[in-house]
Amino acid sequence: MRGVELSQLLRGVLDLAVLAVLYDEDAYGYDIVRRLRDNGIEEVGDASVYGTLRRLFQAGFLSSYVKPSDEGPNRKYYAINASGRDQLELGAKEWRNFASTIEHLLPGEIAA
Amino acid sequence: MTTVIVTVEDRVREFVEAVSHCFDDLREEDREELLADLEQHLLELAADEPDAFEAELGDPHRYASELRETAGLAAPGLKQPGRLSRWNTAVNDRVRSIIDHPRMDPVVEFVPMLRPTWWIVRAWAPLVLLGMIFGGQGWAANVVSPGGSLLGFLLLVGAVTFSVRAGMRGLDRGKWWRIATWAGGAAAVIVAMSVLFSSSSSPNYVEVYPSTGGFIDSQLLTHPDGEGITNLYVFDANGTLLRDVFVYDGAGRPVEVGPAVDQFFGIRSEVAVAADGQVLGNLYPITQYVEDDEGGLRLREIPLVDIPALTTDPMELEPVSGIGGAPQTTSTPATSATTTPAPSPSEPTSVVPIPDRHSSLERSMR
Repeated sequence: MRGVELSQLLRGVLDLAVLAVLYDEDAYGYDIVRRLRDNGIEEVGDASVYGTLRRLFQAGFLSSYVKPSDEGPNRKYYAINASGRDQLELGAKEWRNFASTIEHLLPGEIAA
Repeated sequence: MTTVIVTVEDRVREFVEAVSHCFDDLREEDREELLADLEQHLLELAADEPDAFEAELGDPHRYASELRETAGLAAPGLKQPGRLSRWNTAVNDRVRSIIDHPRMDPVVEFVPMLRPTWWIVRAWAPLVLLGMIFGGQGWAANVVSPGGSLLGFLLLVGAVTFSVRAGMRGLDRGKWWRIATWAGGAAAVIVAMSVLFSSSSSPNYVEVYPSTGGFIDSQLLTHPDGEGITNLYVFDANGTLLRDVFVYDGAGRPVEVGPAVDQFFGIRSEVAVAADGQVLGNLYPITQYVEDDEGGLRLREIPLVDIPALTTDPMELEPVSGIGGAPQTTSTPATSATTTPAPSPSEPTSVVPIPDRHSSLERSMR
């Protein structure tokens, strides 16, 4: 599921996923991709994460700074700010609400 | 044989350029925002995951489309709507959400019945607006009143016919039709606002004359035939209207004409006040307004009079002395007449009505 085929479901929660990753620790672009994949969101592409980061940054939920690296190029780190944490809290609430609604809706005989 | 060494930086730069071409349809600021850190991001990727880097660099179009999709920008080939367009969409959505509410149903059913009225209003309003801009209120009134000018009447009939026919055929007749209907609607709003504004801001300058108590029938100055004297206009021998003239009687008492609000004559006076607040009821001519047929007020015109020519040298008058405490005047009509030759008897001087000007003295505005 990549590019224009990126599922609606994943796209809807990518904001939340990126904010959640950054909630734990500041990270640079590809670092975020890796952490998402490590957490099971394997379908996500590099361009999707980069695009999401630009949008979240533009919306004022993130701040950024450049950190020199011993190996390779400098890294641009993203950090969640207060506004981003509020957004994450709101998004988490909505997600749980939504998930429990769908969970309730699904027929019980279908295995999880 | 020459070996060309292509660095990672070169490849990234080339790739970013290819991606940027996919954003040619975006606004410049959106494009810059998307590409701001892409080079840095890809260099990080190349350093961390060379395999992933190679995979990503395979197709700049796919990368670009995924990037702009997740960045919340329109799909390739679609022009990103401008700010005005987005604002318009937002307003439309809000209006739609109000209209769709079940409680609005009676209103939604009723409003279409008003359409024919609207078709007429949107045709009529631009003509009135044009009249207001180019011909003053009178022209505008002519257009809309049955007794108006023939041209105005024909224009009105034409515009109404066009508007109603176009309205009945369907509401959208292309770009120019939409512009015309919008212009008509806008004109209607402007006319409505100007009518509201002019009626609510009619000058309220009426000063109730202190010495009469404001009784309409207590005319102070009258002609021998009983007709009231509402104002005094003093002209010199050349027919020039003298302004800010103080008039006193033989006993040195100020001569005042009458109440400031004369409902019988429909005249309203703007009585001058001195800097210390003293009402100057004998300062002439008094700036006056008369009620017109539509209930508005217009400046009273200076009367058209014929000034008789002086055939002999005017009498030498004694300079005014302060009899009974009357104030000294700095010039008198007599001295003015002696310094200027009088016109010949066959050519009486006509005084053309001209709009009054505001006195250098403060007018009381209430």
